[in-house]
Amino acid sequence: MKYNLPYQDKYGFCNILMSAIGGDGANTVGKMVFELGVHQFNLDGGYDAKYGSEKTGTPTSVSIRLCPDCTNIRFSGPTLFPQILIGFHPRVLIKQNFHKNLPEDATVALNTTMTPAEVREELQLYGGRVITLDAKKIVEETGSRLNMPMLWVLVKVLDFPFDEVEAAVAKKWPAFKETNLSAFHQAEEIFQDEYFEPDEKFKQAPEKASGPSQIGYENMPYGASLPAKYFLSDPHPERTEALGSTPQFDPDICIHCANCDLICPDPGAIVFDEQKMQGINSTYCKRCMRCVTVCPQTKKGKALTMPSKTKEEAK
Amino acid sequence: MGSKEKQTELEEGAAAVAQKIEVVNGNDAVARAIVHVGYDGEGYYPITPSSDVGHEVDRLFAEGETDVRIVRATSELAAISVAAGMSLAGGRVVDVTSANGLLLKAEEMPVISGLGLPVVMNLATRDVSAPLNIKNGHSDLAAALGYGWMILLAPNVQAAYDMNIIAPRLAEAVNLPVLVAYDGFHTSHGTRKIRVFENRDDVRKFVGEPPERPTFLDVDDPRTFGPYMNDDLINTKVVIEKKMERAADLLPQFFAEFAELTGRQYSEVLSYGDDQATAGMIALNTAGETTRVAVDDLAQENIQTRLIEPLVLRPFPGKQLLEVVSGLDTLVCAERVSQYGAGNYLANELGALLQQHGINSTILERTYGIGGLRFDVDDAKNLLKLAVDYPDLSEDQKKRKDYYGAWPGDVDAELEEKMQPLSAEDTIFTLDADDDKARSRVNTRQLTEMPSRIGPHSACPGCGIFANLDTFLRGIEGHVAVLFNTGCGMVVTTAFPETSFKIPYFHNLFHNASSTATGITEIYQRFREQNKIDEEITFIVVSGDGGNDIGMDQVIGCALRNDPFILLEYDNKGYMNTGNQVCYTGYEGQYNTNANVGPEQIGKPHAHKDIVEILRGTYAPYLFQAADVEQRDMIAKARKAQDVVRSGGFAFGKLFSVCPLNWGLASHKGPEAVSKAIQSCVFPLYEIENGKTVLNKNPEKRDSKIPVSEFLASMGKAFAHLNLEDNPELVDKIQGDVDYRWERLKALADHDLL
Repeated sequence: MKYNLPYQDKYGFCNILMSAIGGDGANTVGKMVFELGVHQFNLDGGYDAKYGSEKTGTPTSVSIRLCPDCTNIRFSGPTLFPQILIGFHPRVLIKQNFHKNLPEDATVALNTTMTPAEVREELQLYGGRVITLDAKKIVEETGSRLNMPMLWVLVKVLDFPFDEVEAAVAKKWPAFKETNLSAFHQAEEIFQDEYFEPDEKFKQAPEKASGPSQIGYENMPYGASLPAKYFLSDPHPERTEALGSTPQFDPDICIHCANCDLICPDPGAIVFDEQKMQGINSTYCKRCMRCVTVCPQTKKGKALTMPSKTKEEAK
Repeated sequence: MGSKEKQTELEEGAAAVAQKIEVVNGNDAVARAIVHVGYDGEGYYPITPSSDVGHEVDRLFAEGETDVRIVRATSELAAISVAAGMSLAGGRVVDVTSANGLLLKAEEMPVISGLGLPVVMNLATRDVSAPLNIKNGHSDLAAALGYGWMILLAPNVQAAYDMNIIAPRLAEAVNLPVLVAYDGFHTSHGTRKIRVFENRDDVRKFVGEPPERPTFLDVDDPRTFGPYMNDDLINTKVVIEKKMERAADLLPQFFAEFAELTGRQYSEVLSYGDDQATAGMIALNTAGETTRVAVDDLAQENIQTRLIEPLVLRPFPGKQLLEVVSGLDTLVCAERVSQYGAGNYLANELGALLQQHGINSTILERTYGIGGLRFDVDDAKNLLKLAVDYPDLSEDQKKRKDYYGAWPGDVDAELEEKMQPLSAEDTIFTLDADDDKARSRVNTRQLTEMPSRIGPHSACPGCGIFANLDTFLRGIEGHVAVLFNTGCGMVVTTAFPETSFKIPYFHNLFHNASSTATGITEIYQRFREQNKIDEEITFIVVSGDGGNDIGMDQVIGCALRNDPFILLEYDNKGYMNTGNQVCYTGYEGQYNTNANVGPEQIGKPHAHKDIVEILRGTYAPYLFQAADVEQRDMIAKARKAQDVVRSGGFAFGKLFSVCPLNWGLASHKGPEAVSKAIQSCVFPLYEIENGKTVLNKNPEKRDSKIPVSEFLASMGKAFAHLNLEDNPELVDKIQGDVDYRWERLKALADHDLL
C-alpha cells in the first residue's frame, strides 16, 4: 500500500513519543501502530517502550520510529526528539520535559479540555500543530480505555487509513469492538486541530528529558546512600491526578472507625487528626478505593463512596 | 562511503532458504531461535532484562509449538545446575540470564566448560553494582570472559536470533559452552522487524544432529564425571585452550554457511568507515550500531573515522582485529564496563595484541553507557572526535582513561531539610505505660496516631504490600530499622535520589537480607554490650515470596540460629516486580508469564509452598500468618513478634498481599480477595508460638468456610481459568491440597504439644 510518512528526520525517521502512565495501555497501542506500519505499509523502524518495571500509575513512555523500508536501523533506546508527541496526561508529560525537544513543525496531541491555543501557551510551544481532545470524557461516555481515543489521534496524525486500524483493534479486542469504535467516532467529532506558525512568540529551549541530578561523583553520599533528612520522597500530584477522582467523603456519616486508614496502602492519603477522620489528601491518594470497600455501612449509608464515574466502573 | 568500506555490516544478500518477517524484540527473537533449534531442555530462572525469553518459550510450549522441557528452578545457580544435568545426560540445552544471575551461576560456569558440555546461554547484559540497577552494562559480560565459554555478540535483534542459531553448532563442534550476549533493554526490549527461518527443518539441518559424546546415561560405558584432581588440572586448561583454537578455525566456515542460507554475513570483527582513517573507535553491540551513524555523519563533515565492532570475544579474534586496527594511530576503546584501578578489559587485550605485533597506537579507555545511561549519535561523535583530536591536545588535557557521561554534581547545592528523624517516644505513645495489659488490647482508632515510618512511594494503586507493612509497623514501638530483599517493595520506595523511608533502610540483593540482618544484629548486640549503642532498635527484614524461594536456605539458617529479628514475607503469589513469573507460593494451575495456559499446559505445574510449615521444623520461637484485612490480629502478632525479638529470638510472619496489577484485579477488590483466602482456609490465620499451634480464626466455627473456587474467582482475571467449569480437576486438586493442609493444621492446633 502506498503511504507517505508525515515527517522524516535527516536519517529518514518519523519519531513518535507517547507519554502516559502505567495502566493506560500506551504500550499496547504503540506496538500495534508499529506492527501496522511494518505489515500494512511496508515500513521499518523500531518500537521501544520505557525501560524497567512499569507500575500502575507511574510515568511511562513509548517510542515509535517509522521509516521507509530498507533504512538501516541502528538506533537503540527511545527517541529523544519526537516530531509527534502524544500526551495521555499533560501534567505528566510536562513534568518530564518531553515538550522541550520538539522541532518547530512538530505535532503535539493531548488529552485535555484545553484548546490548542491554550495548549500552545501552557507548553510554550515554538510552533507547529496542536491537536486537543477530551479523551477522559470519551472514556467516561463510551467505556473504552484511554488508549483508544489516543490511538485515534496518533493514527490521525500519521494519516494511516482508519479502516486498517479499526480492523486491527477489532481483531485484538473482539469483545470491545463496538465500545472502541464508538470511542474513535467520538474522538473524530470533538477533536480540535490548529497550526501555529513559528512566530518567535516562544523560544526553542531544548532541555534534556531527564537532566543530571545535583548529586554526582564529587558529592555522592557515602556508599550512594540517601540520608532521609534530605532525600525523603515527595508525593507526585501529577500522577495521582492522572489516576482519576478520589473517593467521596461525607463527614456526617463517618464513625471514625479507622478501617480506611488501616487498609490504605499509601501513607498520607487518609487524614486523621486526634483520632478523627478528616478526609482524603488527593496528592497522596492513588484512587484504589480500598477504603470505600471497607467503609462500614451505617443507617445513613457509607461515609466513603466511589466518585461518580471511576475507572473501575468504566471497566 | 561505498568503496571505502572494508567489510560491510550485516548486509542482506541472496538467501537459499525461505524466511519470513517477524516483528519482535530481542528476547522474543532469542525465544524463536530456541524453539527453531529444538532444544531438549531449558533451565530457567527469571532476571530482568532476559526474563521474557523464558516467558515466550513457555508460551510456545503451552501452545504446543515446542516440546522443550523447561524447569523453573529456585535460583540462577539451580537453573544452570539443572542445565548442566540435562546436558550431562546428553540433552541439547539452553539457558538465559543477566547480571547478578550470571554472577550467581558463576560457580557452575567453569564446571560446564571443564566438563565440555555444549550448553548455550544467552546473556541480556545488565550492570552489576551497588546500588542495584537493572539496565544495560557489560560488567556481567566482563565477569564471564575467563570461564572457558565461547562468547558471541549480537549487536541487534536480528543478530540475537541469528547468533542463537549459530551458537549450538559451534558449541557442539568443539564441546564447549557458548554465551550469546546482547544488550539488555536496548536489544532485549527493542522491537524490530527481523527475518527468521520459515521452516524449522532448515534450522535443524544447519545445526545438525547433536554429535555423539559420552553421557551420564550410558550404563554400558559407566564414567565418573567430576573427579577430584591435583597437579593434572593444568592439562585440562590446555584442553580448553585447544578447543578455543579449533573454534576459531571453524567459525569462518559456520558464518559462511549461515550467510549462504540466510544472506546475512557475520564475521568475527566488523569494520566500518574509512579504511584510510587514522582515528577510530572500538565499541560493542548497540553502541557499535549507534557509532556507525556517527561515522557517516562525521564523514559528511569531512572527518574520516573508522569503527571496529567485534562480534566474537572468545575465542579472542586477534588475527582479525589486527587486520582492521592497523593504520589507526588513535583508538578509543569504548567499554560499557570499567576495571577500577586498572586498564579496562578490552583495552588491555587490545593493548597486549598491539604490543605483540609492535604497533604503537594510542588506546584511549572510555567507560560509557553504564546502567543504561544513554549513548546517542552525538555521544559517539564526541568519542570519535576525541580520537581525531587527541594527538593535538595539550598534555594536561590528555586522559588515557575516563568515564564518558559522568557528572561531578553540584557540590555547592544546599539541600533542603525535609524531616526530623522519629524518636523512640514518637512511636510508643499509643500504649499506656501504667497499664500492663495495654499491649494485648488493640484500639484501631488509636493506631491512627502512630506516625508512619514510610513516606510516599510509587507502588501500584491498591498494592497489598504497603497495606500490610503499614499496619504491621503500627504494632511495633520504638526505633525500627528495615532490610529489604529485592522486589516491588524495594523498587517502588527507593529510586535514587529519593527514599520513602524515614528510618534506617538497607536493600541487599534478592535473597540476602536475612543473613545481612544476622550480621547487623550480631554487631548491634556486641555494641549494646559494650555500651556503644544506647538505643533499642527492632530489626525487620522484608522480603517478597520470591526472595524466600531463592533465599530459603538463608532464612532457615536464621531461624535455626534463632537470630533476633523479624522476617516478614509479603506473599503475592509471584515474582511480581520482574513480570509475574512463577513463585513456589503460587497455586497449582496459576497463570504466570513463565507458566502459561494453553492446550499443552495449564499454568504452574505443582502445588503451593507452605513456608510456615517448612520453618516449623526449625523450632523458631514465633511463626505466624497474618493479613491486612484482620488488623487487630496483625497488630497483636506484631507486638508478639517484637516481644520475641526483644528476648533474643527469631520471628517470621507471612503476610498475604494482593497484586492488583498481575492478578488482573480491580484495585478496590483486594480486601475481598484476602478475606476469601482466609475464609476458604487457603490462607489460615494462625501462629506457632514456641512450637504450639494456635488457630486465630477458624471459618468453620462460624460456618463461614467457603470453597476454594470461590476464593479463586475473587482473585482477578489472571485466575479466571481456575474455575470448576473449565478446569474442574485442577480446582478439585487445589481444594484437596487445601483441605488436607487445613485438617492437618486443625489436628496440630488441637494437640497439646503441637
